[in-house]
Amino acid sequence: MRRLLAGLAAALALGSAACAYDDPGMVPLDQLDQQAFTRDVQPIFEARCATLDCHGVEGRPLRLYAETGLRLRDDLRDLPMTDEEVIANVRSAEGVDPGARPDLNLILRKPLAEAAGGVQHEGGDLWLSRDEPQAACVVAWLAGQSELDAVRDACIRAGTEVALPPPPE
Amino acid sequence: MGLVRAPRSIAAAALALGLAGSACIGTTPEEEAADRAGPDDGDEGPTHRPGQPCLACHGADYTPGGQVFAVAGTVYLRADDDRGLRGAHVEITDDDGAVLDVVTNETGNFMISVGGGGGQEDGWLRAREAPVFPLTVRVYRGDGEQPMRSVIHREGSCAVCHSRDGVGAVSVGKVFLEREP
Repeated sequence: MRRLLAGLAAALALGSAACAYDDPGMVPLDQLDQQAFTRDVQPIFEARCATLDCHGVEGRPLRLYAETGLRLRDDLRDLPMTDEEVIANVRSAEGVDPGARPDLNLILRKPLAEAAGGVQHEGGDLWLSRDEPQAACVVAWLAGQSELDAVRDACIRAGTEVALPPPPE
Repeated sequence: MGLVRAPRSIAAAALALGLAGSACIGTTPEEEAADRAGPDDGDEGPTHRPGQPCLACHGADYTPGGQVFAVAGTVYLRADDDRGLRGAHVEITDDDGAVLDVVTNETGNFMISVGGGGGQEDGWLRAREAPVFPLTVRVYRGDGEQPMRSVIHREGSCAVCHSRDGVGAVSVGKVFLEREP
């Protein structure tokens, strides 16, 4: 019994050590910029990730709400995103790879081509390089650097790339 | 050489594994999806089951319908119509820039199979090659046009996201050409 308890204690200690993270590039989960997310990241997620046949599915990792995809409630269809949905998306993004450095976060590495340091992704390679505006914009948000001038340029270019057709008249 | 008797713990583990394994034997998700479509309405061929998720029975992984489709669905003139729209074009542009254009049949159905010569009849386009996802789609007829705002990443059945049961949190409603009468 003693051995069992000692083993459990050791496992817990190792688990805690793995969670301890003091990298200066990491933004605590509760400090990710919701305003920057809405402005810069949500349009990228909506166009590239959040369709009803990918991350717009309840229960899927990085579950995402979107105007053209999954909605939080039935009566929200065809309406703009609500704050509640945006917050839920931020929480969902936070939960993908908590503790990871922004440039190693799975939010970047899943859609990134494996040749560029990405990992296997059912949805394929969305970004061939970390330098692509969409990738740079998302990583900057994870790092809390959305307001840097260089990042603003990338995010504006990304926003142009992912612009959706207007809603039906 | 005599047989060695397995300890009771191993036998119990084997029994548990057997029971767990037997719980997995049953209906597959694909079979469940096909069952949800219910019995056929008597019609057969390309005009049957408008508005239902075609690849539930015509998918690559489960094909009780016999024919595999890459993309298939139903187009309506307006979102609240009960009958599909004949003669609507569904134009699909794949990730490589290839364009497939298929015209809906009398129930509004269209379907695209792969490995044909590129011809089409009765809503069925036999494409030479499989479209590469993600797909960009627009529907048009005459002067009317309706582009799909989002892309299709992987789902070949339009009705999975465009339920004929209407709009909701998980459905954007039917594929339609005109918003207003």
